[in-house]
Amino acid sequence: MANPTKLTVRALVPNGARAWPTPDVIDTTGTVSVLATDTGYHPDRVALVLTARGAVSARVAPGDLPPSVRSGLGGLTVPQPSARAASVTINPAGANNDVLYTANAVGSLGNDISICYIDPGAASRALTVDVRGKAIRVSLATDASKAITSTAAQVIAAVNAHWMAGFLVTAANAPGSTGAAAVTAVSETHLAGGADMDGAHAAVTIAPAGDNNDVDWTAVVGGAAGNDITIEYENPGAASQALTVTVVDKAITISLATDGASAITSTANDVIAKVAETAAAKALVTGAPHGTDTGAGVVTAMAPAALTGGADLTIVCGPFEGARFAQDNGNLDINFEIINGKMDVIAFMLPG
Amino acid sequence: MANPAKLTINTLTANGGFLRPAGDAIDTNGTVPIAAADLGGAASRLLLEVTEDNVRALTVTISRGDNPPAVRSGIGDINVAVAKNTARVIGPLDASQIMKNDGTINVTFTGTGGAAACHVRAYLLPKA
Repeated sequence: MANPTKLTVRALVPNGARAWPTPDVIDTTGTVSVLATDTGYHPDRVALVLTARGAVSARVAPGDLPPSVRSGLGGLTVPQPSARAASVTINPAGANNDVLYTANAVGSLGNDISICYIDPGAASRALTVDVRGKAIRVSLATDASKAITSTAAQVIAAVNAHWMAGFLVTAANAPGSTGAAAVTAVSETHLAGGADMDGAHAAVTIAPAGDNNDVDWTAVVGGAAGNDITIEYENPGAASQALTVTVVDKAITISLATDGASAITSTANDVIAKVAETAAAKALVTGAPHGTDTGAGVVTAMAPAALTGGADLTIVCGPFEGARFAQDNGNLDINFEIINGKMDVIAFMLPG
Repeated sequence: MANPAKLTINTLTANGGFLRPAGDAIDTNGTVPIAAADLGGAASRLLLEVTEDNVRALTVTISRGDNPPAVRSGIGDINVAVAKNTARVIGPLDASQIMKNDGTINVTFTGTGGAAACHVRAYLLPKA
């Protein structure tokens, strides 16, 4: 699919009645306009109903001056009743030096933050942090022979202690990293995944008999569509079978591994890892051991279980001030950012 | 259950927005008013969204007002049919046709062959 070339405008008339419209579907990051010709050059009368069926954002773009004398106030991000933070893992060569950076403010604006590690290329330099706009620049320490000496732990401490960098992000060891090893130069890398709206994620806990084998499965994409996903653990009923994952539509079937005596050998962690390396399944769900379970326990066959609790998120917003948002052609531009899933948009034209 | 004593007003503000409300649940045939105090004198900026709960079709009637103040009340009631499992957007409404002399607006829900079952979201639009 692709975005529509413009948002469809539904005019409301006094004392009129109309069916709830079929929404425009936005599934690609980009700008879609409400055309001036569709609003009679009244962009200030447009109200939007936005439904998040995934992690998405919508910003009303600032207008042009002229005519928008208040365009200097900038664009407008729709309210954020359910937002998620941008993050990135900086992963230099080597082990135990990966750092996870997470934006402190949730929402799409966190995607503008970037990180880079700079090799100063000179001897005996100290570790320093500098912030320009939303670009965090970490200049690494070196020894007398110009070799980089800053460890990930030192970088984390320096970033978190910097007044501006620490305001923008929180740095921490990435999972599995101790932070003890030195880092290397890394080019500018932006945080990603920040979204202003995110539907509720469907989830289910599969709890076979036995200990340490319960798994929480969560839909990757938020929204009601996640409730269509099912997960089944299947006993192949034969000896020496490999662990496999198959996906048909939204039905995930995990055929468990067996030994020579046809006994199941797959642990919860095995199942989680297999799903994570199977593209079609990975696109639907992520798994994690439930609660304090270690995941080391062997699982058993389980009938298909549906994820539940997924819900779309709908926002009613606008109208938007013409003196701030009107483009010089009279359009109202909406910048959409789609992290995953899609957004339904209905544009209503209010009467004057 | 029973119908609410009045419909809840959700006020839109310029450049603002909010989570779409769940809506007032209607499960009984009858009239539910919109209180004058909740409209702040802006009855002509009232918009209704009626979603039928997949039970039965219904008719939403916004009753004609009193004259005065509703100088156009002679036009009569506004009747909107809402089919089963559909939603309708009604309005904005013209206060000069539907406002009662105490400032309220009366909305009547009548199910076809049984009790009406729907959810209603009432929005008050900002000034143009």
